[in-house]
Formats: sequence, C-alpha cells, structure tokens
Amino acid sequence: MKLTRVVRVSVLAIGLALGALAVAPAMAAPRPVVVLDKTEPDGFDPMFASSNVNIMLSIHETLFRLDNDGKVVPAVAESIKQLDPLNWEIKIRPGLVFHNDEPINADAVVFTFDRATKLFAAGQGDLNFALGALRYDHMEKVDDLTVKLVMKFPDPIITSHMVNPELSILPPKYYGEHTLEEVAFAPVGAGGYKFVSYKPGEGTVLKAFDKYRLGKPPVDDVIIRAVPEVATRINELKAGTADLMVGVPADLKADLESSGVNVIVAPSYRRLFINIKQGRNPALADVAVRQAMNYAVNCDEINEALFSGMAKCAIDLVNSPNNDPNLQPYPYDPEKAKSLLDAAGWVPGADGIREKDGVRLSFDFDTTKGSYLSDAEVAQVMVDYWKEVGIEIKDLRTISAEVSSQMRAKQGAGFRDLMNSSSGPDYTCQGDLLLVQKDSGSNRMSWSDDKFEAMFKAFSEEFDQAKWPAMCNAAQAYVAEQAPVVWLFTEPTLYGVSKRLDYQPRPDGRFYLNLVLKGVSE
Amino acid sequence: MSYVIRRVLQSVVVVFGVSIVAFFMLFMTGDPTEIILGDGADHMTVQQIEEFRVKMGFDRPWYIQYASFVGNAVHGDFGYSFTRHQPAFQVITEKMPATIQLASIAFVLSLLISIPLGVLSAVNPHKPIDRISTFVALLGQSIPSFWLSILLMLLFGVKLKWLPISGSGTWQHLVMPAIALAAFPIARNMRLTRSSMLDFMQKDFVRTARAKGISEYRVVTSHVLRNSLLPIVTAIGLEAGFLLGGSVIIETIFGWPGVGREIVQAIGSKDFYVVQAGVITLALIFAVVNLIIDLAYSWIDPRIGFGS
Amino acid sequence: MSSIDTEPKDVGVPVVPATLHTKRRQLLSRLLKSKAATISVIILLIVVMAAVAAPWLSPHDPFANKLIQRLKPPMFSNSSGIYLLGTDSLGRDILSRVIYGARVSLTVGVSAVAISGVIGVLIGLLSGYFGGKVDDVFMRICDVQLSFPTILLALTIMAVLGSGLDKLILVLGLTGWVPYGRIVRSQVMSIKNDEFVLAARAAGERQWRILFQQILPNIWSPVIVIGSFTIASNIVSEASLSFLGVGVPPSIPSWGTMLADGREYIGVADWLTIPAGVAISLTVLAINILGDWLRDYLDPRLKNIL
Repeated sequence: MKLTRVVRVSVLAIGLALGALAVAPAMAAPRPVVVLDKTEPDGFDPMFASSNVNIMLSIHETLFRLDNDGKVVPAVAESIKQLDPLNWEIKIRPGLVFHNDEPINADAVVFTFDRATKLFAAGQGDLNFALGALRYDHMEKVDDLTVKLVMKFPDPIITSHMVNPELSILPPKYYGEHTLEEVAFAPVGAGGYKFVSYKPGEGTVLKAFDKYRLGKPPVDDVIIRAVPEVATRINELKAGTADLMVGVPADLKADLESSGVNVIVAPSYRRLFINIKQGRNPALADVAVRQAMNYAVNCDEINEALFSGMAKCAIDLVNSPNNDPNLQPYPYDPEKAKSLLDAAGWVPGADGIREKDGVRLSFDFDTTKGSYLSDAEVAQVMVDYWKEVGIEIKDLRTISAEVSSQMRAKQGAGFRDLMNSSSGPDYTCQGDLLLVQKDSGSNRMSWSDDKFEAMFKAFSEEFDQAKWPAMCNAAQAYVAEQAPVVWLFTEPTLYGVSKRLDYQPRPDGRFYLNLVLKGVSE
Repeated sequence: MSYVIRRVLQSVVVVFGVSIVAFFMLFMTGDPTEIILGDGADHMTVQQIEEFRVKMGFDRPWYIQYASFVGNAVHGDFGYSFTRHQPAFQVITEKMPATIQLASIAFVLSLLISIPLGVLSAVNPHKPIDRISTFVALLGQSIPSFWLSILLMLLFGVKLKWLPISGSGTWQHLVMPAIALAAFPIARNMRLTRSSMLDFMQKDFVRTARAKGISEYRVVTSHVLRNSLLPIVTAIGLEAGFLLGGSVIIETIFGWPGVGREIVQAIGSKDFYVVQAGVITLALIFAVVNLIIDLAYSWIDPRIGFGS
Repeated sequence: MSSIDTEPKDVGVPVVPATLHTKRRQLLSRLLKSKAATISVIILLIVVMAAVAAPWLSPHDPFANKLIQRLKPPMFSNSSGIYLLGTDSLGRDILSRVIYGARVSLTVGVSAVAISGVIGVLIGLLSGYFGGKVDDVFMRICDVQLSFPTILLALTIMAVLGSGLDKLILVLGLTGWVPYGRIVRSQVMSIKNDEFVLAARAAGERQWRILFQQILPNIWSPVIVIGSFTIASNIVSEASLSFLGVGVPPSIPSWGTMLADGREYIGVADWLTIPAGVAISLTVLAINILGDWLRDYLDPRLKNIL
C-alpha cells in the first residue's frame, strides 16, 4: 500500500513539473509559425537543391517569379527585351540588396550564372533541370543594372525558365569568398525571409527580411521542421504545436476539423501519374503494353472512393489553360487492354498472367506512402486493375518520403519499373512538355522518342505565339497516345492550418512563404 | 595485462570484419560507377564514364580498393556523399551526438526502471507486485515500438499536452523517444534481474547471512543484488547495439535527427559512402562499449582476472 | 562479445534418459499446473488453427479491394454492417486479414528461426567442440554480426534484393543466429569432456558422429528456449520492417503491415489497428510466457543467461 502512495505522489509530481515546463512564458510577439516539412534539408545552396525547394524559394530570389495566380512576373529583373533570337537584355530593379546588404546588380547576376555554368561543367550540384531547360551560353554585364543573356538556342519562354530556384541570384562577395561547404548551411539570399539558423530536429529558423523587394512579409518568424512520419505531423497539428501541414490524408479531414484544425481543400495543378521506366524491363518499351496499362485503370472509381470526387481524372500532361480540352483520358476499357496485349503477342498463361516467349508480363512497382493523398492505396488498386487484364506486379514496394525524393532524382535513377510520381505546373505548354523531354531532369521515365523530340524542338524554337496552341495540342495528343506514363488525375491538396494562421494556398503547391502566409494572431 | 591486450586486439579484428562487409555492400548492387553516376551516365560518353571509373579507382582489383578504403577510413575519409554534397563521415558525425544522446538516456532509463522493479519482484515472488511487473515487462517486449510510440504521442502530446510531439532541442523532446526506445530493454533487464536475484536468494551464503541476523534489506542489497547484477552487465553490452542501431524507427516517428534515420535514407538513395561510414562508426562505438564492459566485467569477476 | 573469454558457464546438464512416453506425460502435467502457460498454449493453438484453416475461417476474401466498402466500422458499432471487425482503407475485411495474418506472422517467425537455428547450432557445435583457431574465427564472425545493427543490415539486404516474404524470412534468419551459436558453444564446451563423450572418442567414433549423435541431443534445451523467444521477436521485427516499408508487400495480409498501414488512423478509425495490434501482442506474449515456462521446465539454470 505504501508503494502505491509513493507511485501516486511521484506521478503527480512529475506531472506537475512537466506541466509547468510545458506552459511557455507569455510573450508579446506571436509565437513563430511552425511549418511541417517531410525531410531534413540537405543544404540551402540553391544550385544543390534537391528536396527542399520551398525553403529555397523563401530565402532566395530569382530574376522572375510566379505570383499566386501562376503568372510569371519580374522579380530581381525589372524588364526583359529580346535583341535578336539569341540575345536578351535584362534590366535589374534598382535599389535592391541581399540579406547581408550586398547590392543586387549586374555583377551579382553575372556571378550567379557563371557559377551555375561552372558547377554544371564540373558535374556538381543539381542543375540538370535548370540548365537543361535554359540553355544559355553566358551572361554579360552591360552596365551596373543591365545584363545581356546570350543563348545557345532560341528560347521563346525564357522567363518561365528563370523562375527555377536553382538560378536564384546570389551575392558574389559572400559566395565568392566562402567554400561550397561553408555556404551550404549558411545561405544569404534576397528572398522574403532571412536565414537565421538550422539544426536537425529543431528546424530551419527564418526571419522576415525588412528590406525585401515587396516589403516586409506579414509573418515575422517562421520555423520549418522536418517530420518524416505522417501520423506524427497530424498529431503535431492536433496538439496545436504546428501551424501548417501539406497533404492531410482525405480520410482524416473530418477528424482534424473536430480537433480545431482548419482543413483547406484547394485546387491544385499537381498531376499524378505512374512513371513507366524505360531501359529496365524491355516489355515497357512497347507502346501497346503502355496503352493497355492505361486502358485497364478505372480512374473514376478511384476518385470517387478515395477522394470523394475531389480529384480530376484527365490526361493532364499540360496544365490549363494551355491544355487541349478535347483531349479525352483513356476510358476504362479492360477489353481493349486485353486485345492490345493479345495483338502484341502477350498471351495469358496458366494463372492468367500473360507471357511472351516464356517471359511473364510482370513488373516491380515502387510506391510512396504518405507523399501524396492515399498514394499507397491507389497503388494497390492499380495492381488489381492490371491483374484483371493479365499484367502482374511482382513486387509492390512502399518507400518512405525521404527515400522517394532521392529515388526520383537524376531522371529517376533510383526506382524500378513503375513508380508513382507527380509534377507541378510550369505555366507554359513548353515547360509542361519537359516532363517527357529526353534531356529534362523531370523526365523520370528516361523516356525518349524521336518524333516527340522533333515536335518539341520545333515548338520550343517557335517565337510566333499564334502557332503555339496548335503545336501544343499536337504534342499533347502524340504523348497521350504514346503513354510514357499511366495517366491518373489532378490531385486536390488538403492543407491542415491552425486556427491562428491566415493561409492562402497556391494551386501549384509551392510556398513562397512571403506570399502564402498572410498573417498570424496570438 | 595480456588479457586486456588480447581483448583490444579482438575488437580491432571485429571492426575490420565489419569494414569488409561494409565495403562489399557497395559491390553487391553491381557496378559502383553506374550507381554513383545514376542516369547522369546517360549524358556521358563511354570514354567519360571510363575516366570517371579510373578517377574513382573502381578499375583496380578489389583487394587494392579495399586496402585504400581502409587506409582512407582510418583517417576518417569515407568518400563524398553524392546526395548530401558533404564528406560521408561528416554526415554521420554530425548526426551521431543525437543518436548517442537518445541511446544513453534510454539506457539509463532502462536501468533505473528495470533493476528496482526486478528487485521488487524478486523480493515479493508470486505476490501481486511481482505478477504485475512481470506481466508489464512481458507486454513491453510484445508491443512493436512504433505502435507504442504513436500511443504515447497521442496520450502525452495530443491529449495531455505535457510533452512536445516531435523534434529535438529541449529535454522534454527526449522523454517520449527515450521511453519508447527503453521499453524493450526495460522488459528484458527486469526479467533478468528478477530471475538472477531469485537464484541467488537460494544460495548458501545468503542463507548464512540471514541466519546471522543481518537485516533482510542488507541481505538483498549487499549480498544478492551485487552478485546478481553480473548477468545484467553482460546483457548491457549487447544492448548498446540495439539502442544505437534499433533507434531507426523511434527516430523516424519522433523526427529525431539521428544517425539511424540518416543511414536509412542513404540506403534508399544508394548513397553507399554514407552507409559505410555509418555502419563502421556504429560498429566502432559498439566495439568500444563492449570492450569497456568486458574489462569492467573481468575486474568485477575475479574468476577472469587481469593477471591470468 | 562479452562472454568470449570468460570461462564457459556451467549451464548444461545431460538429459536424464527417460522414455518418450513418460517425458510427454510429465510435460503435460507440469504444463497444466501453470495457469499462465496453459492459457498461452490455448492462445497459440488458436493462432495456429487460424493460420492453418484461414481459407475456411475467413468470412471474406482478405485480398479483395472493395472501394465502396472502405473504412466501414465494426459490426457491433454499426448494426447494418456485414463486417464483424470492419474494413480497412481499401474495403478489405479486417477479420479475414487478421486470420490470414496469422499465417504470415507464424511463417516468418518459425521459418526465420529454423534458418538461424541451423546456422547457429552448426557454428556453436564446431566452435565449442574444436575450440582453438576454429573457435576464434567463428566467435569473431559472431562479433561482427552483433556489431552490425540488425535493422540496418536487413534494410540494406532488402534494398539490394527487393522486398518480399521470402527475403524477409531470409534476412531475419541470417541476422538472428548469434544467440544459438553462443549458447550451443558454451554448452558443448561444458560437456565435451564428459565421460560419455570421452568414451565415444576412445572407442574411435568419428568426429561428426560424436558431434551429432552424442553431443547434439544433450544441448537441445537452450536451443528450444531461444527458438521460442526468437519466434516472438521475429514477429515484432516483421512489424518494424513493415513500418519502414520493407516488410511484406502491402497486399499480403500480415499483422505488421496492418498495424503499419493503419497508423494514421489511430484515434480516428481504431478498428484498423487494434485487431492486428492485439493479435501481435497476445501471440508474442503467449510465446514469451511459454518460453519462460519451457526454460524453467527444461533447465532452470538457463534463467540467468536467457
């Protein structure tokens, strides 16, 4: 009996002590806004960015940016003028400074582009995407606030390519005087937020930059914390210890709302599909097999059951408004899928799985879990659909968010035959088409098609905007038919937002923190 | 003294053994050149790839590569992490303090709870306190740690709001991960203490002590407990491995920035230099901990002795 | 690593010759005297029956995704339901999956134990019997294996080989042999100079016959006890690896994947995880209690090392 009293007293004492500690001292300024991310950043050098684009976009500033409606607007640049097909003149906005008070001028811009070129040539950094899209030769200083960009190829959508965070303008003195390792976790930029500190587990601490081009952002202090486990992120929101989480599972919407968390369902331009990797399993090189995989899938059923109809099934290679409204998704037609496979020589074996020359029509499928809405569930349903027409998924493997972002890097070097993937919008048809262009970093399938490359080359060199819609539609139709991926749907995004935070989601899902965090109370 | 020297040499041999396994992990997946270049190889000519292979030294016979791997590793050079853009060893050493901190707190916690509970049980065998603590201990061994973690989080983080849910920074952040990590060792050590104590209570010298009229408290603490801690000391050494390497799950759930999470991520992205650096560093720590424990053990247990 | 150079502890007692029949009766009567052990045996019998008779016991197809029926609560909280324990996020019947899950959990637990038992016993026998150089080499291999964190080794192997039930068993089997090796070694050391061994040697018996016919039958007890504990820990490991995404493929019903997949729904739709969680905990608890009992029955002196 004595023991129980001792236990009771000590439990009470510990409880009181913890309780006292948990109550933070009252402060005048609102607590920092805590944003939950999935992975620890691997550095803040924009040219080495691979996983933490959103932090980059908040610390650094590019020549052009996307506003909340997705329109390309000048940022560090004030204006751009084409001198001839290969030469552009860019005026730099006067009076801007970096976080360390270095001036933003032509020298900074030239320094930045030279640095990217040098790193790319040395095989360093993660610049495939930026330099693959923006094929410039070099940047020249004209006067203190004017530069000339010299291209290798004509590029009609040059401004859209310059919104990539990899080409954030960097202060030449700071980045010139320090080694790559020194700057990796001590960035200096020109974005809305100054970098204060980063410690794994504690997060990235950011402070609003009062000399920011658009004025000081409305929320002063922001902490971005990496929490890999989705169940933990949800619990952080429920407990009120975090303010923002992207990707609330659709099934948990009602539960979070009843715990006092706002769940904002926003339309998104994020398009989900299943990558079909080329070069690993030869069967996937056959367009008939890829088409059959598309016909076999009942996207509408998935949408209704898993997303209450919030998603939109479509061949959304290109985003609105550039997409062809007449382009129909592959209908759910298992019979058509079967006859395509029959014609391609894949005949059902004893267990219903098709075979050709003794080889089974069998693939390995990597799916994320918790990276997109119901991703692992969607993958399992796909396995059923494909089995129905005689295609086997030999090994369906789930991978964590931390691992998946790196599997997708370098044109998807890490995954096996199939992997779910997504793409954000580029706002130009040419940019969206990069998803399947052979040199593009976003081509995770390593898909390469000569006819498409020819179409893309002609399109990407066409300066006459009147011709764009027809070229865009032709390219979309061709790619849709070639089925380099299994087309799925445009994902709705569910944001979990604390009651005190005023948050405005963007359809592209990016957070330029200065644009999406509108205010915080308390 | 010869025992000490022999024992140290053994540890060195073991760490070398681990380094062999870690080294060959890089070759298990095929051509390391291709792994490191990934699809970057698509943009290179065959000649460039060959140059890269030579530059990295992958063209040499395996034993020479292994020798240079060991030679570099001794200086803490495990190669350059191609996902982290940092030396691999630095990636590991930066994350190591967090893991060691969590492991040692869990370790202390497990001893603080398991030994008193084990003693209580052994002193009151087959009484309710014994049955309850034995049952709880068994239960602790039966629940997968990630489930326990989420339940703890819901109770102390979401419902009671006593503790922060995830991350690191303050001592409060340590509480839940440490409990979740300690659950298994608590259970095992408690059962070991109990059975070992019960065993010694039957021994002649204990009976003699009792017969002499020494108080039960003194008998238990000075005669029984001291002797029965020996098997626990042995178990503790092995626990070091569990606590250091087994914290992967706890680190993932609680967003704890440890080395386990880092290695898991590196395995997934085939960043083998980081995996090698991590595995060898963990093995080294494990070897040192066990060396210390063995030496301590031989010092406590006169049967082994330094002189022999 | 720690017991390497300590004197082998005297834990082995040659089994007293007894007829099989009396031994069995003895075992049963002793078992029935312990309430906890009896309950454990009953629980395990139920689990084994579920595993064997899964196709006949399951009310629904555990593999069939029925999206219309997803996340239905259990029958008792929703009178119109047809699913006794509800359905998961793909509309699969939880009860059927728990029943089938017994198959996977037991298969993983038992097969992995068989692999690690064979490796460990062989290494322990050779190491303990021949001693010297052989012993040195095997014990260092033991130490290397112990220095490698099991989960990380499992993850690495599965990253190379891919995931799947067979690979999971292989990985758990290959990483779990050390305890057998060490205990068998110390047992062999303690009896290899006993009279019956020496006599056999003097009679000119071949080495392998002495090992397998004279020594092996006398060291079964600790092997069986370790085996029972390892079955339990393998079942928990399966769940842990499922959490890390390298367990069995998600469509195959296993308690580990059910628990891992339902973790986001804890506190929201608890029926997704509670049945699997209870199944794991009860089974592992029962195996551990029975293991304890077996240890005390077979050889109480093992207490301090197992």
